[in-house]
Amino acid sequence: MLTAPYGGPGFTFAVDTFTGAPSAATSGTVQISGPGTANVDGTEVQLFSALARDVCYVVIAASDAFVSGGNNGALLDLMIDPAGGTSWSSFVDDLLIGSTPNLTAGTIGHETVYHLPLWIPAGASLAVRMRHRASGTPDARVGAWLYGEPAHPQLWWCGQRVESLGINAGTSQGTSHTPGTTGAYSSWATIGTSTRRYGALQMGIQYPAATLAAQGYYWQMGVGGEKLPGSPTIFAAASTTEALGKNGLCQPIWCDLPSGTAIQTRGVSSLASSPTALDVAFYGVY
Amino acid sequence: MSLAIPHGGPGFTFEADVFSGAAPPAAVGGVAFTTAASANVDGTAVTVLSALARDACYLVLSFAQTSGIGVPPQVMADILIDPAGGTSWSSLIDDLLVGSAGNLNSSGGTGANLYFHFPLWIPAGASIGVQARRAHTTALTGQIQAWVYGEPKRPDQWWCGQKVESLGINAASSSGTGHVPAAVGAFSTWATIGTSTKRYGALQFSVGGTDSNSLNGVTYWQMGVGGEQIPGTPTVLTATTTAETMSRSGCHQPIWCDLPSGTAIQTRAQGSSASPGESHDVAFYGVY
Repeated sequence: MLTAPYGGPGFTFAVDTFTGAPSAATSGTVQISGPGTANVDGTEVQLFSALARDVCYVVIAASDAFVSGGNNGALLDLMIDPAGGTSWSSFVDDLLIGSTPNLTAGTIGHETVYHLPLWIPAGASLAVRMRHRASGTPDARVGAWLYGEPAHPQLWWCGQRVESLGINAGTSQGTSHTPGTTGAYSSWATIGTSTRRYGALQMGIQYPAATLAAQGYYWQMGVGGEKLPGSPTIFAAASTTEALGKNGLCQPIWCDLPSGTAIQTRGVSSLASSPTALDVAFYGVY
Repeated sequence: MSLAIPHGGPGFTFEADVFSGAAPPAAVGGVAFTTAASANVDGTAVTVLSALARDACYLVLSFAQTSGIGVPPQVMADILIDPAGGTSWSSLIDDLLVGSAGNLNSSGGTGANLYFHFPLWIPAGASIGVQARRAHTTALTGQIQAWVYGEPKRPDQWWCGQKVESLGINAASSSGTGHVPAAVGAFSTWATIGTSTKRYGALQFSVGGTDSNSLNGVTYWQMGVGGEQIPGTPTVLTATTTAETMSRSGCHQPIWCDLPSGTAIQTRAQGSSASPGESHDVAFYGVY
């Protein structure tokens, strides 16, 4: 593999939401809110205006999206206006971000991060909106980093669209899966079936409800009743405050999955009985 | 643009990690390591991954539970290798700044993991270990998590190096190079952390605390060359607490680059407070 050009793709363009002055209160990320009604999309909030260059890699992180003692399901849409204005259409649907703790001064929160190798044309504007399973106006925060103009574009595959699998938008949830008790994974369960050929995959995990038990989890992604080759095992830590930390979802899961592939998950909890079910979803880049 | 290349990027077909078996821990996830009970002395090496089944070309590490309240926060980890698959360790990556990471457990410690992404070749059969030191005088038990990826379907889509150079390290004090962020409103002046002696194909950046009475605050960090931000690099956010923990956001992937030997690698920072922030430790890690 040392025959590949030195330095990988070597992005030469980057832009992020961390501009201006940092704030201890907001972490510099963009604040979004639920609309006041459960399971209804909130108002779009702009992240980037009229990108200066083409982009081929999107990293988007959410935090502060948990409600202690309340419902926690939350879905994030990434919106686009290719003309650089605010006439938004959905670009990436229904990223699971619920039960994500805070990342602000004075807290030690853990973000939910998605890595999407995705082409976005120069001039486009991007926004996000959130729906939440809780009524009222629960907040979340979003940070994003965009990369483009690779020095070696032949070393970077990117797609143009994302298919979301396992979503139940009516309740701001993914597909519920109950992990096995300690010592035995659950059986592989299909979360959704691809209708496109995927070149990269992401997995979303959230706790959607109000009574999370303290436990650790392992989660895996699979195809055909086996772990997807080259995919990580994910550790998740749940606390009784309904906060869920996730460890291992930290890069694009490169793959070549044909249309018609049933994409699966399985999990195992540290508890010997009554493990808490979590929501799962997959996002395929094509 | 890049849509003409094969579908699915490098397409790793091998992966190994520390989360093996089917009994996840509730308390903490990963492999425990303990620093020496004396300041700035390496602790005992422990195995993280034993005798890899296949060649690996991408190493992802994260650290947790490396903070201590009211004590010097500097912790430094060496990533070790035994190519023969045993425990006759030599250093693979020196002196990662890993202090101030919060807990990832089921007792409410749900974050602050500190990630490193190294596109690095590791031969099949090798074992990976870790040893760590800290500036404080009592032992600390931290956690390391590791994932290795290999056997890409399209190896021509993935560059990796064989070694890592660490810049800005002061091992005798378990520290990096101190840098004080400017007060809110403007970045500090670019400061050189170290100068490469190899040609780097990927870069990593780490920030750690230096104060045993840390303040709540948020800081933006950038990495630079020649007094300008390195093109294609992220702005990194750190959030500190009065409990001497630090969250980091933005070090999400290998920082792909092609930096020649002799490059002075710099940083600058801007804090959220009206007065200049606390000094932080900074270090860079170049893959070559």
